[in-house]
Amino acid sequence: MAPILKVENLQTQFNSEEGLVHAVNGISYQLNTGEILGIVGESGSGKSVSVLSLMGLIPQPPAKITGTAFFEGKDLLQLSDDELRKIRGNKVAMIFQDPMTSLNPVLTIGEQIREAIEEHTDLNEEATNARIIELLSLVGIPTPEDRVSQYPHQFSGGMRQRAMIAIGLACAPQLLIADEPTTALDVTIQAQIVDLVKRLQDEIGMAVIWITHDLGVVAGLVNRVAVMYAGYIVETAPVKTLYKDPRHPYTLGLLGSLPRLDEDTHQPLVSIDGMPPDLIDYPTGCPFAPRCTYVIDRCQTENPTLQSVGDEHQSACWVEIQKEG
Amino acid sequence: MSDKATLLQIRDLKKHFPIRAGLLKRQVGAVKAVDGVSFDIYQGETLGLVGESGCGKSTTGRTILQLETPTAGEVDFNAESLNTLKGRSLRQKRREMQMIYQDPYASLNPRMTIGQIVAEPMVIHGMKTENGYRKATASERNERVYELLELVGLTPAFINRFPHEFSGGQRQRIGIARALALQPSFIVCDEPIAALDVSIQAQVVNLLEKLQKEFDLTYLFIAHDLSMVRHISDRIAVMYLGKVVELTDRDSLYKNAKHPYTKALLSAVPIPDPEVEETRERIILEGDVPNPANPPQGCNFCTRCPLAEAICFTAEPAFWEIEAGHWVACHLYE
Repeated sequence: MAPILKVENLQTQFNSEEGLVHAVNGISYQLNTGEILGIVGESGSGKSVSVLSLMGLIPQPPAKITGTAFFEGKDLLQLSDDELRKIRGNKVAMIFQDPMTSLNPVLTIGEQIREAIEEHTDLNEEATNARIIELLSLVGIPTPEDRVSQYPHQFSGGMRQRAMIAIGLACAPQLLIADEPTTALDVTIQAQIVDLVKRLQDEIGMAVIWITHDLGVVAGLVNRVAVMYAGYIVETAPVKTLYKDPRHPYTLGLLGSLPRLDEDTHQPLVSIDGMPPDLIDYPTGCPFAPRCTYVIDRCQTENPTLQSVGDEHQSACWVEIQKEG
Repeated sequence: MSDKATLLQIRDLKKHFPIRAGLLKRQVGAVKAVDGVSFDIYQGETLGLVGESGCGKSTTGRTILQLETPTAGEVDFNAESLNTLKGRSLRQKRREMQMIYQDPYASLNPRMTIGQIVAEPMVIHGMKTENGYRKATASERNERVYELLELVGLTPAFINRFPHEFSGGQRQRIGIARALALQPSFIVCDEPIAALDVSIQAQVVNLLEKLQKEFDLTYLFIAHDLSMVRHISDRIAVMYLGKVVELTDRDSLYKNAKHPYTKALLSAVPIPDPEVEETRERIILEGDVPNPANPPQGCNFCTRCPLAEAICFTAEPAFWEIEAGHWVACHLYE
């Protein structure tokens, strides 16, 4: 299957008063049509910055972005602002973490969806109105005829996120980028949104990049996972392989530090000691070395690159590691 | 569970926040944040309190500590009523009850050093000795601050630094050190890990468990993360819209949940295992939590309950013990 998005050696750095911030350090991945990719990492691991860089949503300067990102044969990083604007909200849609700050509080929900449709299509007034109602019912908003003229503050958190998704879907995108869309929501509402995205992905056949810090949400949703740490992808694998046979010590640590609702034993959690590295004062060698329990001498001086460790499974580690038990 | 001594007894606790409107600021309604909550907390246990945002779990914690004056109801601590205490005597009681807050950024004064922050409770209340509390000298306090910082896994060399120099996980450790300064017996942990990254969450939870063993602490652990609550708690109370709907021990909550809301909540929590997720059945609740200023008639959950019957819309279910140690408020079990 041809990849819809192919990112190679993407690097994003910021100039700051304290020095150069290495936010994303040369990551590569590809996404096939209709596939859901999960990008997992903690705060500051570069997961959001990496997709914002692709979409031209990070101003240069202060940022410096290098690498290539091919979407439908065009390198997104070489496009002008006008060309990018034709793709954003049209072929590629984004939804963000906080639906309150990403919606305009003084426009009705209907007007905000209309903006996206008018920008990218030639539908007439009547067809646009019909499309707006259709979109709202598609994302499961009850009585869309009444809701269309309401303002964001009249919507609950989950409803706002649904409205954001409706805006994103306005032009039937081929790629949906979801940046922690359920982090601000309660679990029962999170389950609704995850269910909705799965259903839409099935119906429309779009590809999805789902960015999150929660390995739990990812387990039931995505096809493939990329784990990010300090601006690097440290491990990538099909979702089942990653949970069953994690190879990178960081992935192992993350899985160990999650309590499971279905666990019976009452073991202490396996925590990862220490903190993520400072992205300015960058360590030479492997960025995870200071927190790693498997560390060897080589880790201090040389940074490992992603190596194949199995079928579609890559890990960046000098040490051969297997999950115990 | 009856073999354990009861540390706190909470009976029909209510906290309503008035809504005022108009020129004369007359009360036109009330947000029923906590609306009749009853449970016991046993000596040395961790009671988990879970629920979604706005269900009143934090207000319950604050009202128990009398940080909010209860609208009605009783809180007994060591068989002594807290409701009637005022001023000085209430302040003295607070030595035994401390709180760890959710936001490690907002709960530390940015202009005080770590040493000052951790020592402050001792400046106000003195130090605990075998026969009561007494004033502590500056050097005694300093010594104790060193001890506390080491206890929570921080280097005492940090004593003269300011909060902004620390990461979220470290700040939460400072908050824990402050809460321990007076050697309390009861600590309300109000979402202490919600603002932290996953790998740091585990560090803080492990620290809390270690300290509990060491000092025989009793925790009220408030959180929305059900898997973490199940991990740390002995018993768990589930709240919905100002009321406790189910209360039982950690294993029977997971294996033998009774209330439809608890069941839905459990099924909504993702399990970090794709193979389990593939075969799991999800109960997806429709709609949102109703407005606590205008809760539904009858059972609070009736608007979203997949099993609601006619009686649920008219009568409020009682909170009663259907099995030993298992309390539920639902008409299905009456």
